Amino acid sequence: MPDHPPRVAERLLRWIVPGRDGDAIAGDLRETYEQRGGGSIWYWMQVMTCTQVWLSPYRRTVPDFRRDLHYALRVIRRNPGYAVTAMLCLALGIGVNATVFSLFDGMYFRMLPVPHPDRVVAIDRNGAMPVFWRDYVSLHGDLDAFSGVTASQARGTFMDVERTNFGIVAETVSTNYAEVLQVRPILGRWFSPADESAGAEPSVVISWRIWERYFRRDPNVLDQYVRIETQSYRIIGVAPDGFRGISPPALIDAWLPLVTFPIFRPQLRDPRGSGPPVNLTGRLAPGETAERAGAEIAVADAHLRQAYPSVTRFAAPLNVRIFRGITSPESRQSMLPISVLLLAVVVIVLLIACVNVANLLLSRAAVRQREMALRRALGASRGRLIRQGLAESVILALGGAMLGILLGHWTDHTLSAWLATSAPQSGWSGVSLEMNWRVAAFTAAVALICAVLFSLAPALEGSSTDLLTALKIDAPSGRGGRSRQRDFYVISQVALSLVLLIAASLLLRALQRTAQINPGFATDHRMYVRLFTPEPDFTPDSSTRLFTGLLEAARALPGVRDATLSFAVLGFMDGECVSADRNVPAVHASINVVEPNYFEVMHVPVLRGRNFASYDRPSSPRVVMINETLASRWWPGQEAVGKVLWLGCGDGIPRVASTVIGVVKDSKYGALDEGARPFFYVSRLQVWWNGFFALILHTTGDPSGLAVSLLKLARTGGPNLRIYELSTFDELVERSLWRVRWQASLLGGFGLLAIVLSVIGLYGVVAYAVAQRTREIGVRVAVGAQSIDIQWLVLAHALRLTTTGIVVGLLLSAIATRSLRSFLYGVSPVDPIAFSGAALVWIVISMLASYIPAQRAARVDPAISLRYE
Amino acid sequence: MLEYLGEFEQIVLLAIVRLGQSAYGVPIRHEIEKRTGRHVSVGALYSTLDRLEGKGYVHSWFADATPLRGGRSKRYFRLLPQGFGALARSKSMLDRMWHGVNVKREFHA
Repeated sequence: MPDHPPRVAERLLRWIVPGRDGDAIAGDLRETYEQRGGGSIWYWMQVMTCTQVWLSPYRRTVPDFRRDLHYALRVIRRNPGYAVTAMLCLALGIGVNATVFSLFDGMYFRMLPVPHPDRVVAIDRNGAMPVFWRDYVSLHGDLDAFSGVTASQARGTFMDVERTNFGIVAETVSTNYAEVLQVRPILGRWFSPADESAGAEPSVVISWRIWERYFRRDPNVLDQYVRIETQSYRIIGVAPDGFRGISPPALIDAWLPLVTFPIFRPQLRDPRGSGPPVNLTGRLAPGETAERAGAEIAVADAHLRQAYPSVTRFAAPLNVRIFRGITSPESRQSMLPISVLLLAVVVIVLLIACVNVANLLLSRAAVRQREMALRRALGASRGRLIRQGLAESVILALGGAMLGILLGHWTDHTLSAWLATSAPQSGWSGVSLEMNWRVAAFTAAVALICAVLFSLAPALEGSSTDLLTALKIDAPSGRGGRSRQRDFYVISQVALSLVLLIAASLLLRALQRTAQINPGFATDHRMYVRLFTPEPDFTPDSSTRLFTGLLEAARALPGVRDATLSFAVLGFMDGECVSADRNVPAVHASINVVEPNYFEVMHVPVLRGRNFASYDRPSSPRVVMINETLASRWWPGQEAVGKVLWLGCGDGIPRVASTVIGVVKDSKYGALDEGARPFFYVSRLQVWWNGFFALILHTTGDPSGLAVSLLKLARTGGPNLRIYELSTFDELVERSLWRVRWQASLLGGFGLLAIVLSVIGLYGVVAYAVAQRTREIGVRVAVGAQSIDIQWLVLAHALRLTTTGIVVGLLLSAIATRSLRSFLYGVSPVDPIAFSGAALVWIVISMLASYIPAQRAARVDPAISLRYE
Repeated sequence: MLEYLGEFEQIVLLAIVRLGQSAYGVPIRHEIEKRTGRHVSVGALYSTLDRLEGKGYVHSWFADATPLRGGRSKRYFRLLPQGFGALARSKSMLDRMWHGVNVKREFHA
């Protein structure tokens, strides 16, 4: 049976009700506790009820926080060194946590920058199947729970402003978009139903960023024209700064009415078609709840299913939820693994930083032992001292948090900018990290938790010091139990930072391995420029002729060995439905449309059969070339050459039979670290795809030297030929590694941060130990130890700590890196090189960190150190 | 302006009256729990006692540190004349309201 009530609860009680009143209550509780015979939970509950005493306006004593704060500030002012170090360590740890949290905030919590964003809802099938324009048309009419529902689809496209051409993401929307979202234009207007009607001129609303960047904030931008893909649009309005559409993480730069977008016209004209897929977003009517709206939508969905049973039979039901963060489940899915990894990493960094501060506080507590003993002797209660220690920790933590927020701000900006440039093709480019009240609140909470955690450190040592011993002049301070705690802290720091270091090394090795992957086609001395012949400027005939002409001219350029055309390049391709039998449901496969000499120019070996030839024309029998994976999947064990492949998805459009004439070696199509992918090629001379080609040059010398000539050549295609990116294939491959490189860089950066923090900790402990053992060192020197022996003493201490930390860290890593498997292409999670390399690095670091303390120890003059104190 | 006592305030005052000279925290709680069967948390009790003292109905002082309590004093309470007056007022007010009312009969009616 415990004979003392829970100490922590008692201390908490004395903190809530200070002074003799608190003593009396504590005494009462103790009496009752003994009568009851124990009961920690009961005790804690009683302590909690004492908050009523604290809250009551009739309370007799007020915890004097102000005095504690003044005292704490004075202490910190007297010793700014330790406070600054503590705050800086904390700022680092808290700052990176704030940044990663704002990532999660953007993914899950952030609402739209529109009025009353908590009334805006997303209506979808949880990503299982899209909602179509036809559904929107039948749904949005009579829904009472909503004040409006709008449909939108975000697509990557290109915009021409005067002579400049660049890629953007646009939203094609229904005309009630702005009404539903209640977003106001800063110039002009948004859409009205008239913009959707039959003879309406295509109109566009541009983003503030476009207005600023490409129109230099010209107030007369309205009624000017821009071109998006094949059509001109009149600018009718400019969106407010900060509004970037409702398709996160994409950042929208242009909005236009969906029905005016040329690609959709055939789909919209077909009376039996469902129209393009759209996202539905609604605003709840005043007084309505999301639940009621959900019920109404479920009823409407039921009607839909009745009307179109074949399409919606297997669809998940529509549901309604408040629009928060990133609503697309696929985007969330793809961002989740790296976000979780980042979170784990920054938590580790924070722990390491907190441990540093705990160490600092411990060493301060050791130094101030005498001061504490004196105050106790003069009547300060233990609770008082603890409260005051807590006040110091809170000040350090809040100071660190404020610096951390500033740092986090800077990290946000840098990270956003870096993401946009280094990961342009991915969903990450639109991730905007921002500091908002949620992030600030999270940061403050983290700071306070840290404060409590590391003020436990000196508290754990117990403020129950033997007054007499502590007041003695030459009191031995900080021996035994205390240094054991510090040693434990340093070991944990070494272990944790080793885990990060190993993770970073593994990712680096994965990067190395991935970069060494053979893409399956030649990348040296090759460059390309992306060209597009849009309708109605070009017909399929004129486009084909243009490309043929450009090809001839390209071959004739000096320094060019050969040239070819390809629709797909690494990371970009299209898909088509294929099947081996016309009656079997088709599956998706990736396709490229190429000039017949493509395989020769790109060094993709044709393994069997023949290549495309000039006599494979639109009027001749359709032919395809397939890769090994497609061949082995569809016709395992058989000869694929000569087999028939049916192209087409089969819904209304008749499938086309194509004969396989050749099998080529697999290459990488999407990314270097992808698995086997079934792929087929058609000849551009036989099949018209869409006039979107990369003109590829095989050069004799450095390809980038030909960039200017290539551009000049492209311009000879006339003003209607769209010219997009130009790049060498080496650069293209480099860019495709962005994700792996980015992961490795991030982790490497954090690993470095963790090491820096841990080195500070290690140095602190070793230096402190030296200071404590000054007398012992003096004795040793006096009895004949050499300076080498003394240095070895210090080094051995450091090495002992480090080695224990390394062993623990290696074990932890072996467990932890298993979860990194999905990031590690071609590298084992327990790769011995990474593990041993990291351990070695730490041993070297620990030797360096103990260098200065060792030198200081060696210089100890026994005559001085053997005097008192 | 004379204030009226709440139900719990009355109970606490009555407990103090009943205990006479030995009214400190533990017996007050014990008395209330024994006589009313009502569990009283230490926070509720002391916040009420603070309030009663703030209104001038009771007076408290510290005495009697014992080893049983870990060396901490007890806080004793006794009623002041205003406290007695308030109790009497509350009682007569309730008596007047209760006069002639038979809850059992009304309930079963």
